[in-house]
Amino acid sequence: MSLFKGIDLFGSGPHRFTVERQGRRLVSYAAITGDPSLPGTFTSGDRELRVTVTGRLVDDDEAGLWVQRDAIVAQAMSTSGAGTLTDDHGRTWADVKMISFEAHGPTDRGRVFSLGYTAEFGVISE
Amino acid sequence: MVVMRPSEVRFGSDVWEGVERVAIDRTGARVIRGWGAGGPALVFADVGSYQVRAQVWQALDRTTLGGPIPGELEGVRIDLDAGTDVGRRRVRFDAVVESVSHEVSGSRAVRVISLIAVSGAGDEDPVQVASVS
Repeated sequence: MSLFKGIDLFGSGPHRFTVERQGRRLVSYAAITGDPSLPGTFTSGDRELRVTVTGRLVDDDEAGLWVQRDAIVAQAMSTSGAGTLTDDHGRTWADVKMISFEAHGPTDRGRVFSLGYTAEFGVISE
Repeated sequence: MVVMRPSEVRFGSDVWEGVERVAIDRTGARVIRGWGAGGPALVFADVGSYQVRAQVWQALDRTTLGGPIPGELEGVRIDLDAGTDVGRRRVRFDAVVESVSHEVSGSRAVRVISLIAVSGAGDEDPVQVASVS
């Protein structure tokens, strides 16, 4: 079971974790000086950790789906603090914040009510 | 759903003579598939949207200059006689004409009318089947 701050936010439906690009952050001199003729890049530290969860929330009714969605969105707000994110296989990332929650489209109302989404987590140096 | 030799088929106020059969197919227009983190097998499937399409085969035995026009929306009523396998039944749905084509072979001509059934609010299957006493 995946968890964020000990809460099962995504367990109602299928979901998978992806660790986004890692490594050094390259910045071009042209970008920071505003002079496009300036060649070259320099290393500006390392990229911040980003982990995305892509999946689908599933519920028997519309109201239940909104409860799930609202619980996730509450974690993505700026007032919400950091916590530990754990994937379904026990891999953990400490002190991460949920950065955003984005629905993939409208709610699907088939046999069940469901909503595809991407939730982004990361270490934010503030 | 297949209706063989209906006793009467109406499209709005028009009676379509010589209908040999009507096939009603349901096809998923938005099929949702979900895989989890556990392995390669699919763990979730649903159909978020589907379409009901009816095809009507109408035998024509004379020159026919009219016919339904694509885009027309009317109520369809298909009546089955008591002598059929399922008894006296009526199938109803609202439908838009998708296409009208003809299969001509020798002296035989069959008009094939393709219909797309529509539901009022989308929360019910557009096709209703009722017993008729």
